[in-house]
Amino acid sequence: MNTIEMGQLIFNIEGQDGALMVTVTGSINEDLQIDKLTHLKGASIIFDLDKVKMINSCGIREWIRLIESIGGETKLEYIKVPQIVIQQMNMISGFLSKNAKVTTFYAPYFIEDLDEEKQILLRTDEVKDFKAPKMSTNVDGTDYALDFDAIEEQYFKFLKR
Amino acid sequence: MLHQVLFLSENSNNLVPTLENLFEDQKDLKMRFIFPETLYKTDFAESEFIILDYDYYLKNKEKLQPAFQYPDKLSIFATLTDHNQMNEILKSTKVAHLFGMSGTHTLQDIKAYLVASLKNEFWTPETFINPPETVRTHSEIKTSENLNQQIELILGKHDLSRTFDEFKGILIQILNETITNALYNAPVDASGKFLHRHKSRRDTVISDEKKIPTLDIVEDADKIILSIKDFYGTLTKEVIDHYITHGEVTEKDGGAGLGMFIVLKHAHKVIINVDQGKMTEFIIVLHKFKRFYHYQTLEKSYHLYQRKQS
Repeated sequence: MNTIEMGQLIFNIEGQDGALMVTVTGSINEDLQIDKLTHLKGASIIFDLDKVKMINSCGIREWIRLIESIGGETKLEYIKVPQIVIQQMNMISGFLSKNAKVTTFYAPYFIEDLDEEKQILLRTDEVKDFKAPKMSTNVDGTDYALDFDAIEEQYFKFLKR
Repeated sequence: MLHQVLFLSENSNNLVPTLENLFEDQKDLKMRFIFPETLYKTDFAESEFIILDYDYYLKNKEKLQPAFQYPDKLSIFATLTDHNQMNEILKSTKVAHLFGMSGTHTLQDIKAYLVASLKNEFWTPETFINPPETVRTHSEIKTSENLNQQIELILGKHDLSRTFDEFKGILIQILNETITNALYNAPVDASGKFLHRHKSRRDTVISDEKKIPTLDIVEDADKIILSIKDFYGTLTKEVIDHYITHGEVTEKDGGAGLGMFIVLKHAHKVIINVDQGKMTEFIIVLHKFKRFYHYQTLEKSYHLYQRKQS
């Protein structure tokens, strides 16, 4: 594994023969330096964003630059995309490039009876016609229905491309 | 002196009496609200304020178009839960005051806007606090170094337990963008040349000791209100109009040019006070909800108050 530290941001890079798995940890911000990531090349790259805590506008710009530097021929896949990143994908034009797709992402659900929030990892193919899949959970032996806790049209906007 | 307000809405008959009632405690301000059936050019020209219902405008564009000849006295209200809609209105009208309409609460805001404008005052965090105030912190941001740690330390003094998980992330992002603007984009030298605007955000900036940006966070039971101030007052309406509606990366150096857009997207109310050459303040009002859905569906407002250098 190749680990690259850039301030509050860490890239762990695994894989070979053109297929890379990159685990991103920390804050995507001005610390992201493309010149430290020039070896990110290949036929396909999977980015695991599960441990991304924060993102800011400089981070968005640097991320877009990074994806441009990798090149449009590379197939990009995002997995375990947290809510804060989904929100940026939905609001910033160009953040989700044409050669990229999200396959799994977190979505907010709510257990009304317990007054509790739950982040559920969804597969994009579970979202049909931009409607959130119905979910339930078991807490201490009791089944509870989960309500999707966002405006579907807005939260799933990134799937419309 | 009698202050004339032209109130242009399909519901003027209902809304204006309520607004008039709200002014009963303002004995020193004499207001006259008009909503004539037939509009003359003089109605627009002679009114001190024009308050326009955007839905009404869309149905009567020709008749109401003259309102846009008076940008300094025009404000718009509309049903605004969708950020894209807000963005479109701001982009097309460049209005300085856009009220999200939610019944009498909005009328309270319209009253506060009229009062503040007539008294040449700015809105403050106190404008939005419903007593009792629960927590208040005041901080000076002397350096850009470890900005997120500074923000997290300050937020640690606030109780965010009755909010959805991502709320803290939203607060950090808003504060990161606004404080970064105060540290990098606001400072100028004596000749008015920007000192740090084109610097990489990786380069540490240390504030001038006499002009250290401040962050005040005030809470009541339902809201958290952020006030971020720089003491340069260099932000202009043209710059705000451009960046606040622009959701694309345009800047190659310095900042990405997305900060204000992101802040407007997240916040329920954004108020920008610019005292030219002296101070710029971003006041951001966020309602505290346990559910993200409720946070997303609450209406939004945008306000820009400017005090020009005399």
